[in-house]
Amino acid sequence: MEAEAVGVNVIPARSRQDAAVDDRQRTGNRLPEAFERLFVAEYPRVVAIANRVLANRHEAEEVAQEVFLSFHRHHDPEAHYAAAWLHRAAWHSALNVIRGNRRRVRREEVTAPASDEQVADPQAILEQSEERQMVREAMRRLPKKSSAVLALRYSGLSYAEVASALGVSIGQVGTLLRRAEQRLRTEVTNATP
Amino acid sequence: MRHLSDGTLRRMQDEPLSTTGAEKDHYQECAACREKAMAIAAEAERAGMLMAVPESGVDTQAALQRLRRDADGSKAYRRTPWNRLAAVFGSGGSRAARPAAALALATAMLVALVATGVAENFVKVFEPQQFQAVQVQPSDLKGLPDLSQFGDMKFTKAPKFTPAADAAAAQAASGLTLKAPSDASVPDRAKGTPQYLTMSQLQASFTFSAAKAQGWATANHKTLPAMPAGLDGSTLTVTAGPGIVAVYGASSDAISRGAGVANQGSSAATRVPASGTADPGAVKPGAPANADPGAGILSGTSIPTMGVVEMTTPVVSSNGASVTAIEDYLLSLPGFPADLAAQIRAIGDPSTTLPIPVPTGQQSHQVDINGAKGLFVGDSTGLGSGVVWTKDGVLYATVGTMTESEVTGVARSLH
Repeated sequence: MEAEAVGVNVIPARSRQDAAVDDRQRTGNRLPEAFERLFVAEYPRVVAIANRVLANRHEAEEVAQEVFLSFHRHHDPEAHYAAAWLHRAAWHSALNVIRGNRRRVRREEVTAPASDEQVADPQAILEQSEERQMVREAMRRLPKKSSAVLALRYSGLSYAEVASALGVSIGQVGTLLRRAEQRLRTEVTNATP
Repeated sequence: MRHLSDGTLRRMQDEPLSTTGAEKDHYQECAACREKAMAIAAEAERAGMLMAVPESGVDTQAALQRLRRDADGSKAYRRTPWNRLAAVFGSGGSRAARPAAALALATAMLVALVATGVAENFVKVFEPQQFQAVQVQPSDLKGLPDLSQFGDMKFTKAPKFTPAADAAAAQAASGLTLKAPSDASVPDRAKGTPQYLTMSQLQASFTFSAAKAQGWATANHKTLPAMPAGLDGSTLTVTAGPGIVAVYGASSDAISRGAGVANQGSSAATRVPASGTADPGAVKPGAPANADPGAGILSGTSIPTMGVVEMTTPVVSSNGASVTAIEDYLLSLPGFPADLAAQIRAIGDPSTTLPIPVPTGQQSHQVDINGAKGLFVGDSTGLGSGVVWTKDGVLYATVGTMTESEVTGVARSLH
């Protein structure tokens, strides 16, 4: 402000401090570079994994924030297991959400289609929403490993990445996935009126 | 050739390049497998439709800005040796590495507790003769108090890890008599010439500081238990090693890389400035993530099939406080899980029994290793297990991706 008044390109010390405070308030302090690199590389996939469990983009982004914040506090961003930890935590945290907030979320799901959908056919939207809710319920009821392998694989992780996140051999992933897909079909079929 | 498994057929749908030549040949010739593959593909397609969600780009930069605000003021991870070991041990580590990491963690507990340059007035207060499992939740470890806030730790001798050309070279470098497993006891998948790594002796000390502890407590709004009389200024020293690690099922390149990572970690953790003090937590920015002796080797991307560890038993000495007073104080620090403290107190023998933290869900029990009391740690699947015992002043451990019968068989065959 003072700088504008005098029309020079020199910002007094006090204003520089204010600007720095404003900047921190706006964006927060920068996090360690290695952590920020990890965040940029993995955030989309962490959201995708949580979204496969929750079928709700907003909730998935909330879960992703919690997962990264927890990692930031407790883990080395350059640890070899960082990505695997984040992937597994995304699934697990998302599962906790549907186990803890099932009733509230069901209401939101049925009444509010995701904001990024193109609203074209209300009937189709309703059916899609109901099917997602069934899948979400199925994910809650499935054995944990089945739920995990579905969320991880269908969010685009390779077999090697799924194996790393679950702590199993690559050879086991196909078997786990095959079994999980059968269970998912059974759960959804049983839940269909 | 047998029919292809459901898992193999499933993976062929997603990652066809992963299929081996023999599997491809069988698939081409076997109508039953092809029919099954079609059923599996149909099931996968149905699952794909069920699992589909609207895809749209995420605003990563906006999310990062939000995280910066949320993380502002919160305590970030610090790269301390304890934290890195706990990470390997906890959910971040592979299951195969956990038993070995448990042993490394126990050794780190010793290092955190003890001594250098054993002066005349130092009295030996701890030398493990047996081991006792204590069940822990990996999440418990994150809440454990950081010992560096309760005193000053110095490493006067950094352990140096060096690949050795063969058994004779490993023995010459360490001064130990190498014991090898019998050929019959080594599982087929681990057979072959082992690679050797030697570890030079480690010496470290820890001096309790009531003022430093109180400073930490005030800054963190914690109430500390009263420090027992004589503990303030009391120094513990620990010596461990030298040792030899014989690794089966790993390339010499992997051993060299493991040694390099471990040495980077130990040098970073033990840099001694001119003043003669070292900050074990002062690891250079950009240093390897797994910069711990032990953890660096254990947590590589490829886990060797089997390892046999042999080292001079660690010894802890004190120039003042008794081991009972030290144990009482440490277990009562804020953040120390009550259940874990109760388990350690229940052992009732802080002078010769080393508690080995075992993650909940893993098995552990006492085993007899040719008359010595050993502790088995592992799971029932053979994904990872280990046995540790001492005999005649030498600590032995066998670890690997093996079942209990395999790992104890190797342990009993050492000669």
